Amino acid sequence: MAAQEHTGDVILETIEECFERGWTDGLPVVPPTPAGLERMLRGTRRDPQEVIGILPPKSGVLTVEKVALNALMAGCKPEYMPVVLAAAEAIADPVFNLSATAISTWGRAPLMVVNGPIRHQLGINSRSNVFGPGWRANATIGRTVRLLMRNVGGALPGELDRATLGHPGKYAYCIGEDEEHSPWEPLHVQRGFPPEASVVTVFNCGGPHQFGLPRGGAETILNYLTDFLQSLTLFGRGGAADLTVVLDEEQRRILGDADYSKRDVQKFIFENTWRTAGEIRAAGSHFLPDDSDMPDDQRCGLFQSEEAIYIVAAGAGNRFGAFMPTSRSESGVRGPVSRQIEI
Amino acid sequence: MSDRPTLLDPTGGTAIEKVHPAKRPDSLDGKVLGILVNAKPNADVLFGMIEKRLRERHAIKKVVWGKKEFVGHRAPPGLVESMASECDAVITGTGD
Repeated sequence: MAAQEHTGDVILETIEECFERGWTDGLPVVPPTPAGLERMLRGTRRDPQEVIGILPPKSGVLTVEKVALNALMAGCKPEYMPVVLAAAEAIADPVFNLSATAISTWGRAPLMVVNGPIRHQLGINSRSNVFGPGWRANATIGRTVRLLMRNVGGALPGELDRATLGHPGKYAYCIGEDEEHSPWEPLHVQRGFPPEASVVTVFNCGGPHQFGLPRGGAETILNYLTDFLQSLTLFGRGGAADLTVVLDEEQRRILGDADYSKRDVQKFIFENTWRTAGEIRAAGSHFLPDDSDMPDDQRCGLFQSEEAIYIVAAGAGNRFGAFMPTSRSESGVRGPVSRQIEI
Repeated sequence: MSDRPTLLDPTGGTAIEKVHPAKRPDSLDGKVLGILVNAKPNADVLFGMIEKRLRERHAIKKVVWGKKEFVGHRAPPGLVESMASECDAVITGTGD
């Protein structure tokens, strides 16, 4: 009994040491021991010293070994490594513009959406409570990305991470797409990957704004969503941006039965989210440039294009969806990044 | 005696070599001054005031304004390089 208590003390002291060293997101981590690292590296054939990217803001050198150590601390199983490595590569891609995500007062976070058979192999949730707790793969893969941003990228809250409020997705923000219960083309296929591929896509997102819907058909769903989106609050500084929308199984079924494709939904949202220049000015927004001479009655679209509205099928249940304000993309220069998951 | 396990460092080294601040000019008299605006609202107002004050105090030869296209993006390709070659000193910062 005494020996067991002693072992317990060592475990607690080691976890405390990780806190003291500043390696955690505020929750306890699995201590990064040599044995743990060796176990985690069994999940990949890649060289531990391979550099897979440079993470802003501190230009941290991201190696396979650092990914494995942070995945270990986050609570991942070794078999999660291919997903974690693909996500790490995606956030390190300069196109993702992680420096803005990591440090901005806006307080956004990389939202990971996983497609393909890996979801079933690892138990990545795409249905009920999809943004919520309870699924180890979602929670720990998502958490690994945050620990990498902190420990390798140096995005320490209150220091280089200047988020005013942040949001809970900054702990873990990883969902699967519910391809099997969707009338639509999966996200990764839209983005040019074969259906049988496993892919992770990262978006630079604010927290989920949830909306529940009354009874009604496809247009009711879309009118309800666009009414929510037209709030002047969303016409913030800097002009038209991007949007990520998650629609649950029932919304998808209703929209699909009414022959709405993902593309049709994008088009509807794009065309029905606008306010006049006069309304925006009166609200005191910096949505328009200070020197804009746009007439007061001219319509200003909230989003920059149909293509800048990303529809994701996730969530099961009773007509609830969510939208996430998403950083402005620039075709071929900045925007969401997808990486195939190499098993 | 501690029997805690060895812990491996999960933090990364940095890819940035140590850099030193550029040499500061002794005076702005006769110099080309660059102002790089970060594209936040009111940044141009703030930097306009700074320009006015500096022009009152120094015989600045010329002021070159550069502007990022969007606050969340880096300066467009070539802008930093062209300002570095044209200007004797550049002021940048965050307005909001």
